[in-house]
Amino acid sequence: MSPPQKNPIRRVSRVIGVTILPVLWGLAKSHAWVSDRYLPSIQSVIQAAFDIQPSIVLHLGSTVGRLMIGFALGALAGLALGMLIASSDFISDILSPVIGSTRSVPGVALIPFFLLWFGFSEWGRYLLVICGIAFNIAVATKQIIDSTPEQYHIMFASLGRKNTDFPLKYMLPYVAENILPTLRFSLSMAIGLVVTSELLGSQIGLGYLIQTSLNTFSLNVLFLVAIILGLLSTISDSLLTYTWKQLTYWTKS
Amino acid sequence: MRIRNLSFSYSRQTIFEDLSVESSSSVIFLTGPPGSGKTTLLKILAGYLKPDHADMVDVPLSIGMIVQEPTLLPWLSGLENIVGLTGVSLSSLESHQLFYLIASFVHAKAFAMSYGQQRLIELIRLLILQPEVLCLDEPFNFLDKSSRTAVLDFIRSYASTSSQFVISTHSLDDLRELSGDCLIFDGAFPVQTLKRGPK
Repeated sequence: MSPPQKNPIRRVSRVIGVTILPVLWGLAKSHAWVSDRYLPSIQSVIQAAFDIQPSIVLHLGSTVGRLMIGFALGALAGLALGMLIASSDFISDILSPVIGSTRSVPGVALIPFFLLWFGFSEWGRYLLVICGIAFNIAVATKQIIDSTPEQYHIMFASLGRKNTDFPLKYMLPYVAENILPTLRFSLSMAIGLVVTSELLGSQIGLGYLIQTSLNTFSLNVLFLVAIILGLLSTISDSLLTYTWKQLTYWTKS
Repeated sequence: MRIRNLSFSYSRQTIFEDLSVESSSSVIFLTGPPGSGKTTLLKILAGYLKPDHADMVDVPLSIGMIVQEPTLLPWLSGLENIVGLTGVSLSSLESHQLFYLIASFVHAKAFAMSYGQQRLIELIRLLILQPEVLCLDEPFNFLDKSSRTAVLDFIRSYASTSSQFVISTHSLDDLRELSGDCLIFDGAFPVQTLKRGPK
């Protein structure tokens, strides 16, 4: 596949991909194909961004803060847990069944538990995100370490060591090199979990906005939040990918 | 090295069937066409592959192997790949007879090194540990002429005193420059005997 910036057809197709929905939206409204009940006008959605009190920036900042803290802690916990179970068969035997069964429970289904245990506290929201992503990251981490290439196994054996003898010199960088797809998936899961947690008992955040706009039938606010969430997902994914490529600088060569 | 009645197969291919080999030479060459079983035999000797059957695979416990693929950890420097992974002291490394070959690039990250530089680091990392047997799979690939000569000289002097080298190679030059037993793989499976080449 040719790089998009060097191929004019790809450049055009990318512009179409970005603009097609707003154009269709504008067409649908200008020709009155869809009523306001189902699709608000673009102007009303933009206006909502200025009308919301407190400012949409505060709502967005709260959601982004929760996302960053929850995702960072969840990713770190998952990496540490995965390296731990990869290092010891005993610990793996003890923890793997728990992790395997817990990670299959959808994060949203955990919300009632966290509400009962932590009420509407911020820590409850962070823990929901952490638990929602950490177990998947742990399983992926263990799988990556277990799939250490044969030549590395031979090299470590020749030195009289094992790959798991080097948590910082080998395991962490090798996992970092391979775990980006899992992290990207976990990031999108984390966004969903943060917003869902904000639907319940929050006083600020994009999830809170969704909840209040449902109660007040503010379709334009719902659309605004949906657009912001889409942008948040795209930008955070790009930032994560970029940052990760900087961290794993040796993979560029 | 003594192997008696060794059998080994991958899932659908029998590689060795009742193979017996014996050699007390300090340098043993395995030569033959690609895919003829040289690397598999090295891995069995190094204990990485387990034979399906063997009456005897008599090799010392202390064995090191270098495979054809790069094995430096790319995120570490050459120095960290040696000192950090083996536990040998920096002074031991710096006093090694071949250290001068890597001195100019040993602080660079492995990913930034050429294949030849990586191979030199790998060789010195293994040689410094002084295992009793060194299984080397095409060890001179990517080496420039002067480095290759220096490593060959080192092996020649070192093999005569302590270690045994089992070297797979397709290079006739290697055979000429190091005297030792030469075991020839002819490319036919299963391998039941190995011909001996010129010493």
